[in-house]
Amino acid sequence: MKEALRNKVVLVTGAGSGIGAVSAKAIAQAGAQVIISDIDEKGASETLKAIKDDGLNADFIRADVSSEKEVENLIKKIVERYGRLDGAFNNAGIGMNNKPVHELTEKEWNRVINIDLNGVFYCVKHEFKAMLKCGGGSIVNAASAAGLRAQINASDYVAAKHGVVGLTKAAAIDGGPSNIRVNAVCPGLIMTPLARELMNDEVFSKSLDGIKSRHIIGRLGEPEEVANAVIWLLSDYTKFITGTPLTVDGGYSV
Amino acid sequence: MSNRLLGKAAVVSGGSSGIGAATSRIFIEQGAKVIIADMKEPTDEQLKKVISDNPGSAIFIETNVLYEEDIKRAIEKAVDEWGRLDITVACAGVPGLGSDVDITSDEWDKTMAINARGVLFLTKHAIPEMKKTGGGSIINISSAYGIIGVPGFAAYCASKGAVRLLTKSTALEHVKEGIRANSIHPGVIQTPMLSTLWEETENPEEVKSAVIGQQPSGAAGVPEDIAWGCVYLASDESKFVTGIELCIDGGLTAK
Repeated sequence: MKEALRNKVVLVTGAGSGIGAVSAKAIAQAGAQVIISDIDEKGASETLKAIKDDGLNADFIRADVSSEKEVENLIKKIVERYGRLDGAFNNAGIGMNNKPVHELTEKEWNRVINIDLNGVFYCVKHEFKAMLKCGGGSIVNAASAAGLRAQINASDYVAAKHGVVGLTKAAAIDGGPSNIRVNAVCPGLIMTPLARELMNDEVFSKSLDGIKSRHIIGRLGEPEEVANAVIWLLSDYTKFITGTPLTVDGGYSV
Repeated sequence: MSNRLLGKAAVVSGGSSGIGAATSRIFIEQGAKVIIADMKEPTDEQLKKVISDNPGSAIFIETNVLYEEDIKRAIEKAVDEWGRLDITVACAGVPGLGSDVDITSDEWDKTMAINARGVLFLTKHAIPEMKKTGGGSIINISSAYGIIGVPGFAAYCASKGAVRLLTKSTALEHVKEGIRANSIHPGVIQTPMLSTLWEETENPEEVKSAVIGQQPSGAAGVPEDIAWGCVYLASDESKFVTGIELCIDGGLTAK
Protein backbone atom coordinates (compact mmCIF):
# COMPACT_ATOMS: atom_id res chain seq x y z
CA MET A 1 0.00 0.00 0.00
CA LYS A 2 2.88 2.38 -0.81
CA GLU A 3 1.81 5.98 -1.41
CA ALA A 4 -1.71 5.27 -0.10
CA LEU A 5 -1.34 7.94 2.61
CA ARG A 6 0.96 10.41 0.87
CA ASN A 7 0.93 13.89 2.48
CA LYS A 8 -1.57 12.91 5.15
CA VAL A 9 -1.05 13.88 8.80
CA VAL A 10 -1.96 10.84 10.89
CA LEU A 11 -2.10 10.27 14.66
CA VAL A 12 -1.56 6.80 16.18
CA THR A 13 -2.25 6.39 19.90
CA GLY A 14 -0.77 3.50 21.82
CA ALA A 15 2.10 3.47 19.32
CA GLY A 16 4.68 2.33 21.86
CA SER A 17 4.04 -1.37 21.32
CA GLY A 18 2.09 -4.09 19.57
CA ILE A 19 -0.43 -3.28 16.85
CA GLY A 20 0.08 0.48 17.38
CA ALA A 21 3.85 0.32 16.87
CA VAL A 22 3.61 -1.84 13.76
CA SER A 23 0.78 0.29 12.35
CA ALA A 24 2.68 3.54 12.98
CA LYS A 25 5.64 2.19 11.01
CA ALA A 26 3.42 0.94 8.17
CA ILE A 27 1.52 4.25 8.07
CA ALA A 28 4.82 6.13 7.77
CA GLN A 29 5.89 3.74 4.99
CA ALA A 30 2.61 4.49 3.22
CA GLY A 31 3.73 8.12 2.97
CA ALA A 32 2.09 9.81 5.96
CA GLN A 33 3.51 12.23 8.49
CA VAL A 34 2.92 10.14 11.63
CA ILE A 35 2.46 11.49 15.12
CA ILE A 36 2.86 8.72 17.64
CA SER A 37 1.45 8.97 21.12
CA ASP A 38 1.63 6.78 24.20
CA ILE A 39 2.19 6.95 27.96
CA ASP A 40 5.04 4.49 27.45
CA GLU A 41 7.83 6.90 26.49
CA LYS A 42 10.43 4.16 26.16
CA GLY A 43 8.31 2.10 23.76
CA ALA A 44 7.32 5.19 21.81
CA SER A 45 10.94 6.26 21.43
CA GLU A 46 11.76 2.84 19.96
CA THR A 47 8.91 3.17 17.44
CA LEU A 48 10.09 6.70 16.63
CA LYS A 49 13.66 5.53 16.09
CA ALA A 50 12.60 2.65 13.84
CA ILE A 51 10.61 5.03 11.63
CA LYS A 52 13.39 7.63 11.47
CA ASP A 53 15.99 4.92 10.73
CA ASP A 54 13.96 4.22 7.58
CA GLY A 55 14.39 7.88 6.63
CA LEU A 56 10.71 8.61 7.23
CA ASN A 57 8.82 11.28 9.15
CA ALA A 58 7.52 10.85 12.68
CA ASP A 59 6.98 12.83 15.82
CA PHE A 60 6.18 11.85 19.42
CA ILE A 61 3.70 13.62 21.70
CA ARG A 62 3.00 12.02 25.06
CA ALA A 63 -0.64 11.70 26.15
CA ASP A 64 -2.75 9.60 28.48
CA VAL A 65 -5.94 8.93 26.51
CA SER A 66 -7.97 8.48 29.70
CA SER A 67 -7.53 12.21 30.38
CA GLU A 68 -9.60 14.45 28.13
CA LYS A 69 -7.33 17.40 28.91
CA GLU A 70 -4.27 15.51 27.68
CA VAL A 71 -6.05 14.36 24.52
CA GLU A 72 -7.20 17.91 23.82
CA ASN A 73 -3.62 19.17 24.18
CA LEU A 74 -2.30 16.36 21.98
CA ILE A 75 -4.60 17.30 19.10
CA LYS A 76 -3.91 21.03 19.61
CA LYS A 77 -0.18 20.42 19.35
CA ILE A 78 -0.59 18.38 16.17
CA VAL A 79 -2.59 21.16 14.52
CA GLU A 80 -0.06 23.78 15.71
CA ARG A 81 2.86 21.82 14.28
CA TYR A 82 1.35 20.45 11.07
CA GLY A 83 -1.60 22.72 10.37
CA ARG A 84 -4.08 19.88 10.00
CA LEU A 85 -5.16 16.35 10.95
CA ASP A 86 -6.23 13.96 8.19
CA GLY A 87 -6.30 10.62 9.91
CA ALA A 88 -6.18 8.93 13.30
CA PHE A 89 -5.83 5.38 14.57
CA ASN A 90 -7.24 5.40 18.12
CA ASN A 91 -5.48 2.29 19.24
CA ALA A 92 -4.42 2.86 22.86
CA GLY A 93 -5.99 0.31 25.16
CA ILE A 94 -5.55 -2.26 27.87
CA GLY A 95 -6.74 -5.84 28.31
CA MET A 96 -9.39 -7.37 30.53
CA ASN A 97 -9.09 -8.13 34.25
CA ASN A 98 -9.66 -11.85 33.62
CA LYS A 99 -12.47 -12.20 36.15
CA PRO A 100 -16.08 -13.27 35.95
CA VAL A 101 -18.50 -10.37 36.14
CA HIS A 102 -19.42 -10.88 39.82
CA GLU A 103 -15.80 -10.63 40.94
CA LEU A 104 -14.94 -7.40 39.11
CA THR A 105 -14.45 -4.42 41.43
CA GLU A 106 -15.72 -0.98 40.55
CA LYS A 107 -12.13 0.20 40.25
CA GLU A 108 -11.14 -2.59 37.87
CA TRP A 109 -14.21 -2.03 35.71
CA ASN A 110 -13.70 1.73 35.59
CA ARG A 111 -10.06 1.44 34.57
CA VAL A 112 -10.90 -0.63 31.48
CA ILE A 113 -13.84 1.58 30.54
CA ASN A 114 -11.79 4.77 31.10
CA ILE A 115 -8.98 3.73 28.83
CA ASP A 116 -10.64 1.47 26.24
CA LEU A 117 -13.92 3.35 25.77
CA ASN A 118 -13.69 6.85 27.25
CA GLY A 119 -10.21 7.24 25.79
CA VAL A 120 -11.56 6.56 22.29
CA PHE A 121 -14.40 9.03 22.88
CA TYR A 122 -11.99 11.82 23.92
CA CYS A 123 -9.87 11.13 20.85
CA VAL A 124 -12.83 11.04 18.44
CA LYS A 125 -14.28 14.23 19.95
CA HIS A 126 -11.13 16.31 19.58
CA GLU A 127 -10.13 14.76 16.26
CA PHE A 128 -13.54 15.81 14.92
CA LYS A 129 -12.87 19.40 16.01
CA ALA A 130 -9.57 19.43 14.11
CA MET A 131 -10.95 17.62 11.05
CA LEU A 132 -13.98 19.92 10.79
CA LYS A 133 -11.50 22.74 10.15
CA CYS A 134 -9.67 20.94 7.34
CA GLY A 135 -12.54 19.57 5.27
CA GLY A 136 -12.80 16.08 6.71
CA GLY A 137 -10.71 13.08 7.62
CA SER A 138 -10.68 9.39 8.42
CA ILE A 139 -10.77 7.95 11.94
CA VAL A 140 -10.11 4.29 12.73
CA ASN A 141 -10.94 3.06 16.22
CA ALA A 142 -9.41 -0.07 17.66
CA ALA A 143 -12.31 -2.28 18.65
CA SER A 144 -11.89 -6.04 18.75
CA ALA A 145 -13.59 -9.29 17.79
CA ALA A 146 -14.68 -8.91 21.45
CA GLY A 147 -16.61 -5.85 20.25
CA LEU A 148 -18.81 -8.21 18.21
CA ARG A 149 -18.85 -11.42 20.28
CA ALA A 150 -18.49 -12.17 23.99
CA GLN A 151 -15.87 -14.30 25.66
CA ILE A 152 -15.40 -15.69 29.15
CA ASN A 153 -14.04 -13.57 32.04
CA ALA A 154 -13.99 -10.42 29.97
CA SER A 155 -17.19 -8.46 30.67
CA ASP A 156 -15.17 -5.26 31.20
CA TYR A 157 -13.32 -5.58 27.91
CA VAL A 158 -16.28 -6.93 25.91
CA ALA A 159 -18.47 -4.05 27.15
CA ALA A 160 -15.82 -1.44 26.35
CA LYS A 161 -15.17 -2.83 22.86
CA HIS A 162 -18.90 -3.19 22.07
CA GLY A 163 -19.08 0.44 23.18
CA VAL A 164 -16.33 1.38 20.73
CA VAL A 165 -18.28 -0.27 17.88
CA GLY A 166 -21.42 1.66 18.87
CA LEU A 167 -19.51 4.94 19.22
CA THR A 168 -17.96 4.32 15.79
CA LYS A 169 -21.34 3.88 14.11
CA ALA A 170 -22.90 6.88 15.85
CA ALA A 171 -19.91 9.15 15.17
CA ALA A 172 -19.98 8.04 11.51
CA ILE A 173 -23.52 9.37 11.23
CA ASP A 174 -22.51 12.65 12.88
CA GLY A 175 -19.44 12.96 10.65
CA GLY A 176 -21.09 12.09 7.33
CA PRO A 177 -22.13 15.60 6.29
CA SER A 178 -18.66 16.95 7.19
CA ASN A 179 -16.75 14.32 5.22
CA ILE A 180 -15.38 12.73 8.39
CA ARG A 181 -15.38 8.94 8.11
CA VAL A 182 -15.30 6.80 11.26
CA ASN A 183 -14.63 3.07 11.16
CA ALA A 184 -13.32 0.43 13.52
CA VAL A 185 -11.00 -2.53 13.16
CA CYS A 186 -11.96 -5.69 15.01
CA PRO A 187 -8.88 -7.87 15.39
CA GLY A 188 -8.91 -11.36 16.79
CA LEU A 189 -6.11 -12.40 19.11
CA ILE A 190 -2.97 -10.90 17.60
CA MET A 191 0.57 -11.86 18.57
CA THR A 192 1.52 -8.73 20.53
CA PRO A 193 3.22 -8.11 23.90
CA LEU A 194 -0.27 -7.66 25.44
CA ALA A 195 -1.36 -11.05 24.08
CA ARG A 196 1.81 -12.76 25.30
CA GLU A 197 1.27 -11.24 28.75
CA LEU A 198 -2.31 -12.55 28.71
CA MET A 199 -1.15 -16.02 27.72
CA ASN A 200 1.04 -16.13 30.80
CA ASP A 201 -1.88 -15.15 33.01
CA GLU A 202 -3.03 -18.13 35.06
CA VAL A 203 -6.77 -17.57 34.52
CA PHE A 204 -6.55 -16.52 30.86
CA SER A 205 -4.31 -19.44 29.89
CA LYS A 206 -7.08 -21.84 30.96
CA SER A 207 -9.43 -20.44 28.30
CA LEU A 208 -6.66 -19.91 25.73
CA ASP A 209 -7.24 -23.15 23.81
CA GLY A 210 -10.92 -22.33 23.40
CA ILE A 211 -10.14 -18.80 22.21
CA LYS A 212 -7.42 -20.06 19.86
CA SER A 213 -9.74 -22.63 18.30
CA ARG A 214 -12.30 -19.91 17.48
CA HIS A 215 -9.71 -18.50 15.04
CA ILE A 216 -10.85 -21.00 12.43
CA ILE A 217 -7.99 -20.07 10.14
CA GLY A 218 -5.81 -22.15 12.48
CA ARG A 219 -3.42 -19.52 13.81
CA LEU A 220 -3.36 -16.21 15.64
CA GLY A 221 -2.93 -12.97 13.73
CA GLU A 222 0.10 -10.79 13.12
CA PRO A 223 0.09 -7.03 13.80
CA GLU A 224 0.92 -6.35 10.13
CA GLU A 225 -2.41 -7.91 9.13
CA VAL A 226 -4.27 -5.37 11.27
CA ALA A 227 -2.05 -2.55 9.99
CA ASN A 228 -3.03 -3.43 6.40
CA ALA A 229 -6.69 -2.91 7.26
CA VAL A 230 -5.99 0.32 9.16
CA ILE A 231 -4.02 1.86 6.28
CA TRP A 232 -6.74 0.87 3.86
CA LEU A 233 -9.42 2.56 5.99
CA LEU A 234 -7.28 5.69 6.38
CA SER A 235 -6.75 5.91 2.61
CA ASP A 236 -8.98 7.44 -0.05
CA TYR A 237 -9.68 3.95 -1.43
CA THR A 238 -12.37 3.65 1.22
CA LYS A 239 -14.10 6.99 0.77
CA PHE A 240 -17.56 5.32 0.76
CA ILE A 241 -16.83 3.24 3.88
CA THR A 242 -18.01 4.71 7.15
CA GLY A 243 -19.59 3.28 10.30
CA THR A 244 -18.14 -0.13 9.51
CA PRO A 245 -16.45 -2.48 11.95
CA LEU A 246 -13.82 -4.14 9.72
CA THR A 247 -13.06 -7.56 11.10
CA VAL A 248 -9.53 -9.01 10.90
CA ASP A 249 -9.90 -12.04 13.08
CA GLY A 250 -9.12 -15.26 11.24
CA GLY A 251 -12.81 -16.16 11.34
CA TYR A 252 -13.21 -15.74 15.14
CA SER A 253 -16.59 -14.01 14.85
CA VAL A 254 -18.11 -16.24 12.11
CA MET B 1 -0.01 0.84 -5.31
CA SER B 2 -0.33 -1.29 -8.39
CA ASN B 3 0.29 -5.01 -8.75
CA ARG B 4 -1.56 -5.93 -5.57
CA LEU B 5 -3.00 -8.93 -7.48
CA LEU B 6 -0.02 -9.83 -9.65
CA GLY B 7 -0.12 -13.41 -10.94
CA LYS B 8 -3.63 -14.13 -9.70
CA ALA B 9 -6.46 -15.46 -11.87
CA ALA B 10 -10.04 -14.36 -11.24
CA VAL B 11 -13.57 -15.04 -12.45
CA VAL B 12 -15.98 -12.10 -12.12
CA SER B 13 -19.65 -12.90 -12.73
CA GLY B 14 -21.59 -9.89 -13.97
CA GLY B 15 -18.20 -8.47 -14.93
CA SER B 16 -19.30 -6.48 -17.97
CA SER B 17 -21.15 -3.61 -16.31
CA GLY B 18 -21.61 -1.68 -13.09
CA ILE B 19 -19.73 -2.91 -10.03
CA GLY B 20 -18.54 -5.97 -11.96
CA ALA B 21 -17.00 -3.85 -14.72
CA ALA B 22 -15.17 -1.61 -12.23
CA THR B 23 -13.91 -4.72 -10.43
CA SER B 24 -12.72 -6.38 -13.66
CA ARG B 25 -10.95 -3.17 -14.70
CA ILE B 26 -9.18 -2.52 -11.40
CA PHE B 27 -8.23 -6.21 -11.06
CA ILE B 28 -6.53 -6.03 -14.47
CA GLU B 29 -4.79 -2.78 -13.49
CA GLN B 30 -3.56 -4.51 -10.32
CA GLY B 31 -1.99 -7.34 -12.30
CA ALA B 32 -4.70 -10.03 -12.27
CA LYS B 33 -6.01 -12.07 -15.20
CA VAL B 34 -9.80 -11.94 -15.38
CA ILE B 35 -12.54 -14.08 -16.86
CA ILE B 36 -15.44 -11.71 -17.44
CA ALA B 37 -18.48 -13.97 -17.08
CA ASP B 38 -21.58 -12.10 -18.16
CA MET B 39 -24.53 -12.32 -20.53
CA LYS B 40 -23.25 -9.47 -22.68
CA GLU B 41 -19.76 -8.36 -23.66
CA PRO B 42 -18.35 -5.37 -21.78
CA THR B 43 -19.92 -2.08 -22.80
CA ASP B 44 -18.11 -0.01 -20.17
CA GLU B 45 -15.67 2.25 -22.04
CA GLN B 46 -13.04 2.35 -19.30
CA LEU B 47 -13.05 -1.44 -19.04
CA LYS B 48 -12.77 -1.85 -22.81
CA LYS B 49 -9.77 0.49 -22.86
CA VAL B 50 -7.96 -1.37 -20.04
CA ILE B 51 -8.56 -4.67 -21.85
CA SER B 52 -7.10 -3.35 -25.10
CA ASP B 53 -4.15 -1.77 -23.24
CA ASN B 54 -3.39 -5.10 -21.52
CA PRO B 55 -3.63 -7.83 -24.14
CA GLY B 56 -4.19 -11.31 -22.72
CA SER B 57 -5.40 -9.99 -19.38
CA ALA B 58 -9.11 -10.64 -19.84
CA ILE B 59 -11.39 -13.12 -21.56
CA PHE B 60 -15.13 -12.70 -21.97
CA ILE B 61 -17.24 -15.85 -21.56
CA GLU B 62 -20.95 -15.61 -22.24
CA THR B 63 -22.49 -16.71 -18.96
CA ASN B 64 -25.99 -16.81 -17.59
CA VAL B 65 -25.72 -17.54 -13.86
CA LEU B 66 -29.09 -19.32 -14.03
CA TYR B 67 -27.25 -22.20 -15.70
CA GLU B 68 -24.72 -24.22 -13.74
CA GLU B 69 -23.06 -25.37 -16.98
CA ASP B 70 -22.31 -21.77 -17.96
CA ILE B 71 -20.60 -21.08 -14.66
CA LYS B 72 -18.65 -24.31 -14.82
CA ARG B 73 -17.39 -23.33 -18.26
CA ALA B 74 -16.26 -19.90 -17.06
CA ILE B 75 -14.23 -21.48 -14.24
CA GLU B 76 -12.75 -24.08 -16.60
CA LYS B 77 -11.69 -21.32 -18.96
CA ALA B 78 -9.59 -19.66 -16.23
CA VAL B 79 -7.87 -22.95 -15.43
CA ASP B 80 -7.32 -23.82 -19.10
CA GLU B 81 -5.84 -20.43 -19.88
CA TRP B 82 -3.86 -19.63 -16.78
CA GLY B 83 -3.54 -22.95 -14.96
CA ARG B 84 -5.17 -21.69 -11.77
CA LEU B 85 -8.08 -19.96 -10.07
CA ASP B 86 -7.34 -17.65 -7.14
CA ILE B 87 -10.33 -15.32 -6.90
CA THR B 88 -14.05 -15.33 -7.63
CA VAL B 89 -16.24 -12.26 -7.42
CA ALA B 90 -19.98 -12.99 -7.59
CA CYS B 91 -21.42 -9.77 -8.90
CA ALA B 92 -24.25 -10.81 -11.23
CA GLY B 93 -27.60 -9.76 -9.82
CA VAL B 94 -31.05 -8.35 -10.44
CA PRO B 95 -33.10 -5.89 -8.37
CA GLY B 96 -36.09 -8.28 -8.07
CA LEU B 97 -38.85 -5.73 -7.71
CA GLY B 98 -41.96 -6.43 -5.70
CA SER B 99 -43.19 -6.40 -2.11
CA ASP B 100 -44.10 -9.50 -0.16
CA VAL B 101 -47.80 -9.20 -1.10
CA ASP B 102 -47.50 -8.39 -4.79
CA ILE B 103 -44.44 -10.32 -5.96
CA THR B 104 -45.23 -13.17 -8.34
CA SER B 105 -43.97 -16.66 -7.75
CA ASP B 106 -41.92 -16.47 -10.95
CA GLU B 107 -40.28 -13.19 -10.00
CA TRP B 108 -39.39 -14.55 -6.55
CA ASP B 109 -37.90 -17.73 -8.02
CA LYS B 110 -35.95 -15.85 -10.68
CA THR B 111 -34.52 -13.37 -8.18
CA MET B 112 -33.47 -16.14 -5.80
CA ALA B 113 -32.02 -18.17 -8.67
CA ILE B 114 -29.89 -15.34 -10.04
CA ASN B 115 -28.91 -13.57 -6.82
CA ALA B 116 -28.47 -16.54 -4.49
CA ARG B 117 -28.24 -19.82 -6.44
CA GLY B 118 -25.92 -18.21 -9.01
CA VAL B 119 -23.52 -17.36 -6.18
CA LEU B 120 -23.70 -20.94 -4.93
CA PHE B 121 -22.82 -22.30 -8.40
CA LEU B 122 -19.77 -20.04 -8.63
CA THR B 123 -18.59 -21.14 -5.19
CA LYS B 124 -19.34 -24.80 -5.89
CA HIS B 125 -17.20 -24.95 -9.02
CA ALA B 126 -14.45 -22.65 -7.78
CA ILE B 127 -13.65 -24.63 -4.62
CA PRO B 128 -12.20 -27.76 -6.33
CA GLU B 129 -9.89 -25.59 -8.45
CA MET B 130 -8.79 -23.45 -5.52
CA LYS B 131 -7.99 -26.57 -3.51
CA LYS B 132 -5.53 -27.66 -6.18
CA THR B 133 -3.34 -24.59 -5.67
CA GLY B 134 -3.70 -24.48 -1.88
CA GLY B 135 -6.33 -21.80 -1.51
CA GLY B 136 -8.12 -18.78 -2.85
CA SER B 137 -10.41 -15.89 -2.08
CA ILE B 138 -14.17 -16.01 -2.65
CA ILE B 139 -15.86 -12.62 -2.69
CA ASN B 140 -19.64 -12.46 -2.86
CA ILE B 141 -21.43 -9.20 -3.49
CA SER B 142 -24.41 -9.12 -1.17
CA SER B 143 -25.95 -5.76 -0.28
CA ALA B 144 -26.58 -3.42 2.64
CA TYR B 145 -30.11 -4.76 2.05
CA GLY B 146 -28.80 -8.22 2.91
CA ILE B 147 -28.38 -6.88 6.46
CA ILE B 148 -31.25 -4.40 6.82
CA GLY B 149 -34.66 -4.51 5.15
CA VAL B 150 -36.27 -2.17 2.64
CA PRO B 151 -39.93 -2.05 1.61
CA GLY B 152 -40.78 -3.19 -1.90
CA PHE B 153 -37.84 -5.53 -2.38
CA ALA B 154 -38.86 -8.75 -0.64
CA ALA B 155 -37.04 -11.14 -2.94
CA TYR B 156 -33.99 -8.89 -3.30
CA CYS B 157 -33.50 -8.64 0.48
CA ALA B 158 -34.13 -12.36 0.95
CA SER B 159 -31.65 -13.29 -1.79
CA LYS B 160 -28.96 -10.93 -0.51
CA GLY B 161 -29.46 -12.18 3.06
CA ALA B 162 -28.97 -15.68 1.68
CA VAL B 163 -25.66 -14.64 0.11
CA ARG B 164 -24.48 -13.23 3.43
CA LEU B 165 -24.93 -16.54 5.26
CA LEU B 166 -23.92 -18.76 2.34
CA THR B 167 -20.60 -16.92 2.42
CA LYS B 168 -20.08 -17.51 6.14
CA SER B 169 -20.85 -21.22 5.66
CA THR B 170 -18.29 -21.38 2.87
CA ALA B 171 -15.74 -19.65 5.11
CA LEU B 172 -16.22 -22.23 7.85
CA GLU B 173 -16.38 -25.21 5.52
CA HIS B 174 -13.21 -24.51 3.52
CA VAL B 175 -10.91 -22.65 5.88
CA LYS B 176 -8.69 -25.71 6.31
CA GLU B 177 -8.17 -25.73 2.54
CA GLY B 178 -6.75 -22.21 2.60
CA ILE B 179 -9.87 -20.75 1.04
CA ARG B 180 -11.20 -17.48 2.42
CA ALA B 181 -14.78 -16.34 1.81
CA ASN B 182 -16.15 -12.88 2.56
CA SER B 183 -19.21 -10.87 1.56
CA ILE B 184 -19.37 -7.22 0.57
CA HIS B 185 -22.44 -5.14 1.34
CA PRO B 186 -22.69 -2.09 -0.92
CA GLY B 187 -25.03 0.75 -0.08
CA VAL B 188 -26.71 2.72 -2.86
CA ILE B 189 -24.21 2.71 -5.74
CA GLN B 190 -24.58 4.48 -9.10
CA THR B 191 -24.88 1.54 -11.50
CA PRO B 192 -26.96 0.68 -14.56
CA MET B 193 -28.96 -1.72 -12.33
CA LEU B 194 -29.79 1.10 -9.92
CA SER B 195 -31.02 3.35 -12.73
CA THR B 196 -33.56 0.69 -13.76
CA LEU B 197 -35.35 1.41 -10.48
CA TRP B 198 -36.56 4.81 -11.70
CA GLU B 199 -36.13 4.85 -15.48
CA GLU B 200 -39.48 3.19 -16.17
CA THR B 201 -41.43 5.01 -13.48
CA GLU B 202 -43.85 7.91 -13.90
CA ASN B 203 -41.79 10.31 -11.82
CA PRO B 204 -38.16 9.21 -12.14
CA GLU B 205 -36.61 12.22 -10.36
CA GLU B 206 -38.76 11.65 -7.29
CA VAL B 207 -37.97 7.93 -7.13
CA LYS B 208 -34.29 8.61 -7.71
CA SER B 209 -34.03 11.10 -4.86
CA ALA B 210 -35.98 8.74 -2.56
CA VAL B 211 -33.56 5.88 -3.35
CA ILE B 212 -30.39 7.95 -2.97
CA GLY B 213 -31.92 9.71 0.04
CA GLN B 214 -31.49 6.42 1.94
CA GLN B 215 -27.78 7.29 2.26
CA PRO B 216 -26.89 9.19 5.47
CA SER B 217 -24.65 11.53 3.48
CA GLY B 218 -27.30 12.01 0.77
CA ALA B 219 -24.90 10.81 -1.91
CA ALA B 220 -24.61 7.47 -3.66
CA GLY B 221 -21.31 5.65 -4.01
CA VAL B 222 -19.56 4.69 -7.25
CA PRO B 223 -18.69 1.19 -8.52
CA GLU B 224 -14.99 1.80 -7.82
CA ASP B 225 -15.75 2.07 -4.09
CA ILE B 226 -16.81 -1.58 -4.17
CA ALA B 227 -14.06 -2.65 -6.57
CA TRP B 228 -11.38 -1.46 -4.12
CA GLY B 229 -13.05 -3.57 -1.42
CA CYS B 230 -12.75 -6.55 -3.74
CA VAL B 231 -9.04 -5.77 -4.26
CA TYR B 232 -8.45 -5.73 -0.49
CA LEU B 233 -10.25 -9.04 0.05
CA ALA B 234 -8.65 -10.66 -3.03
CA SER B 235 -5.10 -9.62 -2.08
CA ASP B 236 -2.78 -11.17 0.47
CA GLU B 237 -3.19 -8.02 2.58
CA SER B 238 -6.33 -9.65 4.00
CA LYS B 239 -4.93 -13.14 4.55
CA PHE B 240 -6.22 -13.21 8.16
CA VAL B 241 -9.71 -12.15 7.03
CA THR B 242 -12.44 -14.71 6.44
CA GLY B 243 -16.17 -14.91 7.08
CA ILE B 244 -16.57 -11.15 7.38
CA GLU B 245 -19.32 -8.91 6.06
CA LEU B 246 -17.65 -5.81 4.70
CA CYS B 247 -20.08 -2.91 4.51
CA ILE B 248 -19.15 -0.31 1.88
CA ASP B 249 -22.26 1.72 2.32
CA GLY B 250 -21.51 5.27 3.41
CA GLY B 251 -22.90 4.51 6.87
CA LEU B 252 -26.24 3.08 5.67
CA THR B 253 -26.20 0.06 7.98
CA ALA B 254 -24.71 2.03 10.89
CA LYS B 255 -27.86 4.11 11.02
